[in-house]
Amino acid sequence: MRFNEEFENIYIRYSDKIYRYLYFNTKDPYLAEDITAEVFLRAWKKWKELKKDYIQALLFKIAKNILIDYFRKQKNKKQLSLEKAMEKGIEPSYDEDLIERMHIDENIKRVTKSLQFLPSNLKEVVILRFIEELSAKEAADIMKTTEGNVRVLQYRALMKLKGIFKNGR
Amino acid sequence: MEDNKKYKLLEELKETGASDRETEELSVMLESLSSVKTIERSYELKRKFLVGNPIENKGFLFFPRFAFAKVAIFSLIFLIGVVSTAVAAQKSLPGDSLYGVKRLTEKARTAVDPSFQGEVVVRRSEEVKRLSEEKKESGLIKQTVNDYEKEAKDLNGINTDKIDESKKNLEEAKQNVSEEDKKEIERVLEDRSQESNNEVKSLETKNESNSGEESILNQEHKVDSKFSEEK
Repeated sequence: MRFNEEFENIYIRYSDKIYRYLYFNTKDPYLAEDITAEVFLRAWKKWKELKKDYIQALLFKIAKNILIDYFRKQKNKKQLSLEKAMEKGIEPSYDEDLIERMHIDENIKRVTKSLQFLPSNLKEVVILRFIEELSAKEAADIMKTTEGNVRVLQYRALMKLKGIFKNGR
Repeated sequence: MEDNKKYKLLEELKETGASDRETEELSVMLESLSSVKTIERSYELKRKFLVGNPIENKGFLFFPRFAFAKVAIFSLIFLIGVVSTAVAAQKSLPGDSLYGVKRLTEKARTAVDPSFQGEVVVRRSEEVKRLSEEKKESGLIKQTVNDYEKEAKDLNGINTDKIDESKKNLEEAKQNVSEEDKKEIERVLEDRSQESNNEVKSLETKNESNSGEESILNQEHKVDSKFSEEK
């Protein structure tokens, strides 16, 4: 199976955003890569039905669903379908250079560490609005809340983050 | 972060209650947060996903790297199917579902090897015999007898052994069939023997005409020798 050109363009344009979102949520660069692949494979399965002008928010929604699913299954010690695929000898590839840089770069390390001190909804709003620069409407849709609430949360998150940056936690 | 986006965000923050001083501080923080956008996976990695599509998992036959094996296995199954159908068809009788396949393989074989036509004639006669033994309906027998006639005509007198063998089969079949079919078989047999007689005759006349040519040559030779004698 080959993807079509439209899908390839979308993957090249958005896969890093999805990857970062997953990385900050899992703190695991390898798992983030695996789930990124899963996100786009799921999107490809329903490609014809997906609204392309709304694709960014849809991809984040898929990522979020997989993440929730993954953490739930982790509790039941079930695996991601992707890990099963890997056991059968299919090796996904990783950008080792990038992963090494992520572990060295002071700025990335500081942001990653600081985000972990935020409650999950504040962390999410920071990633979506301030890092990935989604609109308040898109963020509200992904977080299943209102635009007004997103604005309140983003303010609260930044104020809290300011304190974390200052005090180191 | 682009300036207009940053400006819009800061405006939103002000609306939600941030003071001017806070907004200033938050602006610096936004820059810091944006720095993690340098987390970008390599182009090679992305291409690998798009071209290699490594994680799609629907059993081994669906992996691109097994594409060749997939084609080979399906062609093998197809080939086995075709061959076994063709083999099974060789024993079929008129009216059977595989009989068409039998006729088709015969045509193919005769196209490659014309001497196989003799075998085809014998096969038709055997079919008439077997149909008569199994007391099949008269229409089928008559149809097969007619087919026999056509095939035998195509044989054009060569391979007389096969014609004799086929005639023997028809003679045996005659014992088991209805009066009407019996007459049909007799008519075909008679036509066949007349035709073979004609063929023998035409061969003989050909020989005769050859000897005629010879005698003319002889006469010319005699005239020539007379001429030289007179000289």
